[in-house]
Amino acid sequence: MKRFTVSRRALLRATGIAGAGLTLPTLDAMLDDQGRLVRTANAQPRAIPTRFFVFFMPNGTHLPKWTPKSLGRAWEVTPALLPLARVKDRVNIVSAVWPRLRYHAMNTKEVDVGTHGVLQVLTGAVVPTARGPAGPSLDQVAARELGKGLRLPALSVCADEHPVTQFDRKVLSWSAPETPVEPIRQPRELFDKLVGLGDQSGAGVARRRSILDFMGKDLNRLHSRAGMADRHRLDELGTSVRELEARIQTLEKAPACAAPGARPEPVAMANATEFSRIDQPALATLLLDLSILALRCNASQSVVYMRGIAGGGSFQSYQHLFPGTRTGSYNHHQVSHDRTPEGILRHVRVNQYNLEMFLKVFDALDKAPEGPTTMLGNSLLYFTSECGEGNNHGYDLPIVLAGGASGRMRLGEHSKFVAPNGTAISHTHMLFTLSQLLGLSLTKFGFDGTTRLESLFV
Amino acid sequence: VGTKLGPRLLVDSLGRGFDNGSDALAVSAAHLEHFADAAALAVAEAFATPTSRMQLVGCDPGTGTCLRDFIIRLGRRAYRRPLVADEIASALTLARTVADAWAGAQLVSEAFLQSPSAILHVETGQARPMDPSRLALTGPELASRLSFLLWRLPPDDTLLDAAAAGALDTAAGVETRTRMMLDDPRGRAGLRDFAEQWLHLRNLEGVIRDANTFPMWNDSLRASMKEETRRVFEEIVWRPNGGDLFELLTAPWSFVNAQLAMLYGVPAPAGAAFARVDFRPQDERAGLLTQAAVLALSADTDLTTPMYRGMFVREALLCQPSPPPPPDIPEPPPAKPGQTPRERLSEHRSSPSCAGCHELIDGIGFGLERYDAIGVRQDRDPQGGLLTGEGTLLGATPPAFTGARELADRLRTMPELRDCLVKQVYRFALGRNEGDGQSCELTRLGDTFAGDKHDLRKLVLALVRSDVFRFVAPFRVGGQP
Repeated sequence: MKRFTVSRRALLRATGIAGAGLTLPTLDAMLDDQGRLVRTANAQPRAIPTRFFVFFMPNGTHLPKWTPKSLGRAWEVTPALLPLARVKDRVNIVSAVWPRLRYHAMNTKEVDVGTHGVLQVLTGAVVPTARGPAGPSLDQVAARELGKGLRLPALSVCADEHPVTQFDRKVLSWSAPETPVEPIRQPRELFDKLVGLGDQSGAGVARRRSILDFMGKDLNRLHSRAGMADRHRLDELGTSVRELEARIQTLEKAPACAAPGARPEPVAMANATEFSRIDQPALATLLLDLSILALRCNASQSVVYMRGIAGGGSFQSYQHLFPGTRTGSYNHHQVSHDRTPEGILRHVRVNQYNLEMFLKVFDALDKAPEGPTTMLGNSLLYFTSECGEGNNHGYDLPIVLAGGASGRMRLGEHSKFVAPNGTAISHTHMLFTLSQLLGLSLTKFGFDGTTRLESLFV
Repeated sequence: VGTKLGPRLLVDSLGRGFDNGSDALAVSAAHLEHFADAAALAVAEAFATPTSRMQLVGCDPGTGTCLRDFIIRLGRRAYRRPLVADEIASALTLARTVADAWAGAQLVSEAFLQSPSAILHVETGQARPMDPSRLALTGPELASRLSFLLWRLPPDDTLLDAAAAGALDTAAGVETRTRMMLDDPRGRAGLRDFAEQWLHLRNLEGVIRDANTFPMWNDSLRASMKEETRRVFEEIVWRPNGGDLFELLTAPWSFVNAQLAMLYGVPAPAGAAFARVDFRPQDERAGLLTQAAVLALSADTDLTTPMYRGMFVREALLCQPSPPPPPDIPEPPPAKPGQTPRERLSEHRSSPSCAGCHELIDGIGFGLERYDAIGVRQDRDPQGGLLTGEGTLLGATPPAFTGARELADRLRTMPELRDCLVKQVYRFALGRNEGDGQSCELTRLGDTFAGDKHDLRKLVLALVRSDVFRFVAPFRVGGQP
């Protein structure tokens, strides 16, 4: 079949709407017969990079209600996994993966993953310092390699309005060692980033660039005056300035997404760590929809979606799932610790609800054709938590994988990821496995992740 | 311009404590974007009309040395020190990247407000000829420290001028200036903010109470609680001849409005205003630990949580924060019907891995059980059990106490209370936690504080005179001085 090759900017110019918000799912005219992206007439065809979506559900699960007993394709749908029944052959369940955290390399004592587990979820860190884990996290690594030139290569979102200050509760994404990427919580902020607001004309961008240039000079002068200890801090700031510079560069190249609807109103962020005072499910859904938009309009390669803050600050309310109950009694953290029979049922329901949200992303990408496959076929979707059993912060993470990972992943199975000696394996190996499914050229990820879960690969 | 930032800046901390704790602050790209937005907004407003922009710049930037003069003036305000030649040059270059002189002045204003030198506290210090072995903060650096401590604002031109003229070069000079700044209309902001953060009052905003259990709970009650504690604190601290901060713990009086009067069961003042009330013994109110704000802050949605009240006392008043729970927490036993929180917690403490911390915190909270989750006095727990107010404060002599009043008296006798207050003020003033290098100086300040009958303003004066405030801490690794 003969296909046209066309550059996006040329197309935009031709249609006379350059600069205006415009949806840009990959255009068929830009793909060759193998579904590879063709940039310009002269360029070599390039495979569509695998997208990476992470759904983080805090507070674990109740493992007896989650983990299927059977392995392989015959896995049975357990109560907590019920929403997956309709896509049973198109997802993978992985069990026996344990998070590990220690305070000190020489100390074998493990740290409570219920309170600090967020640190390891995407970094593969095992021995974080007081300032955070070694980084960068997998989403950042993937975006750097696969998301070049995108508007927001790595996007991190947290659907929780509580201003928990500790990074070990809320930050999954790390741009460098000990450098947290603050997740976006305001739908309006995310909307503006995707759709664009303010002066995005050439002059506006040039203006912004000249300010950053001025800041860079100031930083250099400070650097020559500062002592050793403070240089670390200045380097951090330097990284942030460069990040903004890079963003400005992409602004010039990567067009914006079309506005999916009205610009969201600002959400009242709480200013303390107590129970929810806003319509939490609405906030979570809005942020999820915008995360989907980021993937669908090719604004982002990696999207990390936190359904809530982890640990004791996990106050997001699930009261809407249990109508008729009292205010404030059904925040996620409380639910995960209530081991009465009713409490377990509630936790299972919360798990189901989180999987339903995860499937929203699955469905949205599944509906978007992309070359010979769909966007889902070119994506890797990862559902996880910071701990296994929510009540005692136990291990064995609840993990679901979906998407074709650009043809690399085999689907429909429940796998136990065990070490050669039969024991549960560290999450660092799971993250290494994900890096391989994404097609990254790494030989190790995180603290010691070097083993692939072979059963996941085609 | 600098004081007129529209949207609330994203202030983020990675740890506990005061919001200026340097070990916990990082400037991410997201922060920079917030600064950029805030700067753009504030500057756009200042340049919105010919009148307003003339007011800011003071002359036509297209003529003579106007632009240069403006840069020197604005730069000093933004960086809180005089600019060096190189900085003036790069600001002029930036301003001239646009053709219109007013637009250039606007661009450069925006850039100054978000530049690293503006958003970081830069304290390099310099050695003095007579004292070459250590680095003294420069005049402008000290002006910044004082201004952010006392006013929570960047220094104004008057203060920077005084610093440039050497007014802050001696301990006596710093003290004189501090007194002037405390007497200034802006002078109460610093200590007010200190109290809010020290006593966790900001967290009240997020406190939620079950509407069925507490029908009187609403936003205005929440605000009243905070106002009460603030008023009592300021009443004591700003007495003309100095007040004893320890009185905050024991004061059998307070300021209440009609809502709080109902909560405390005392006669209501007329109208909506706050008025002083002297409590009768049967009111069982005395000081901070019986104030609704503190009692509500340390409770759950529908029940008291003795553990939280104990943690508050340990953390805020004794500087003994509880370590995080151990990794091997056993499953809490399911609540038995009719079991009180006290009984459940006692069971919890029978586990050796939990006992260590819970012994320290639970006993304090038990002594405050005669106040419910919004601070109303109660004689019985929800299961009908009699609440006696008996508690234990490990570390005090004797540890056993009955009721909030005795608890406050015990606390006053503990040397840890005095030391903790000094530490809290130090952390707030310096924006970082104390290290081993400061222990002598802090002990000395503690003695002064005791000698001054726990006068907080005198403590601030002693602190700003001290070497820890006026000299750069020795080179530090890992963030600890």
